Formats: sequence, structure tokens, C-alpha cells
Amino acid sequence: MKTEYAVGNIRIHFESRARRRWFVAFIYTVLVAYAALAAFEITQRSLNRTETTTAAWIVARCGILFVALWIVFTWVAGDMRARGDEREMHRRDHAHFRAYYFVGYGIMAAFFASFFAEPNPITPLLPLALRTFLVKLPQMLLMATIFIYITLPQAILLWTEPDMETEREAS
Amino acid sequence: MNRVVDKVPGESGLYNRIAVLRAERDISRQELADALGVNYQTIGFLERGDYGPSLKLAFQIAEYFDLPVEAIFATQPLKPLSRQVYASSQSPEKGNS
Repeated sequence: MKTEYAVGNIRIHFESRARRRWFVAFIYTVLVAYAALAAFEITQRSLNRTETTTAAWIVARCGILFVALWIVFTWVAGDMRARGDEREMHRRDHAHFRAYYFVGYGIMAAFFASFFAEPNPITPLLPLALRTFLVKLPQMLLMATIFIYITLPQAILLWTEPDMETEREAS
Repeated sequence: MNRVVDKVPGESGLYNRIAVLRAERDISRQELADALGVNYQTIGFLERGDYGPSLKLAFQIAEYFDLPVEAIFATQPLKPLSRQVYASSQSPEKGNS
């Protein structure tokens, strides 16, 4: 994993685990905020658009977010498919193992949530806003699973790697 | 007198002498990493005992330092190298007297 990054003239150091954890926490806070906004839009239709337009708007933003996250995480944590030395490979395998554990649960949750999208005896008894939310829940869970698939292995790697030394210290 | 180096072995549970050997031969982490074909950070993790190397890497390290594997890695705390060398140089004289 690289420990120093350059954005124009600004040098960003990621040797410190605490700093890497702040970064991961920030990214996931943004994601959760976005998920909350999307859920709000779906249930309240706050933008006064038709349902199709709202869905298209959410999907378009999700696409942009996917690409942005993929670029940022690959840039910071390194390409997870690239060949590293044995320790790096071990750490990546471990990160993938832990991340895909959650992916499995996400898929299962989406599968069970799809029950609410079909006609069933429970949803007609619920308030309209909650019903609308439950209908969209499987897609939302699948979307969250895709986010986890794209970001979680790198996030686990960034979160768990201990403090590192710079190239200057090593030479 | 025969006190061992009381150093916690880190996550790997292995004690090693890589840092001592490197300092003794004036080799930087980067140089050792280049010779072994690993990342310089891996050398740091090995030295701190946070990573246990594969058998292949352990043998590569032993080959690099021209020492047996058991002289570099151990599951028990290692005695200081200087004391061990001095003790071995003294033992034939003790035997003669």
C-alpha cells in the first residue's frame, strides 16, 4: 500500500492508521447520508417528479458515486487485483474474506425483503410511506450490497493495516 | 547473565533477529526488501513480529544473511547475538581448564 499521495501540489500522508480510519469513516458517512436522502426521496417524492424520473435520478447519482468510490478507494488502497508480495496478498485475501461475508448477508436480506414488493398480507396494513419504502427496499439493499462489494475490501484494508513507515524511513 | 531479550513477538508469535542482522551489516529495509522481492513495509512488519513469513520467505532471508533459519527465527525469545557468540567462543577454553 502506498503511504503518500499527491493531489496537485498537496501531499497527503496515509502512514497513520488513525488518519486512514478517519478517511474510511468520512466516506461511509457520506454514503449513509446519501442512502438516507435516497430513501427520503423515494418515500416522500420530495422532488415532485414522477416515480420513474425519481428512480432514474437516484440510479444516475448511484452510478456516479460507484465510479467515484471505485477510483478513490483504488487510488488509496491500491488495486486489489494487482500482484503484491506475500504479506500484501495475505492481507488482501483476508480483507476480501471479511467483506464478502457481509455481501452474502446483503444478498440474503434483499431476497427476504423482496417478499414485501409482492402482494402479501402484511403491507396493506402499513402506512403508505412505509409501504412505498418496503417496495423499494430490495433494490436499496442490492444497491447497498454493490457499494459493499466495491468498497468494503479496500476499507477493511485501510482500517486494519497498522501504522506504516515512509519510504524515506526505510532507505 | 543468561537473560533473554524480553520482546513481545507481535501478532505472528515469532521472534526474529532481522533488525539486528540488518543493522550489523548496515543494510536498509529498502535494500533488504529489494533483495528479497518484497515491499519495504513487509520488512518492517517482519522485524516487529507483526507478520510471520512463509517458509519460502524465511529460507530466502536465511540465505540472504547466510545463516540457518533457526538463527534468525524462533518461537522462543532469542538471546542477544553478541552474548551467544561470546559464550560459544568461551566454551572450549572452559572445557580445557
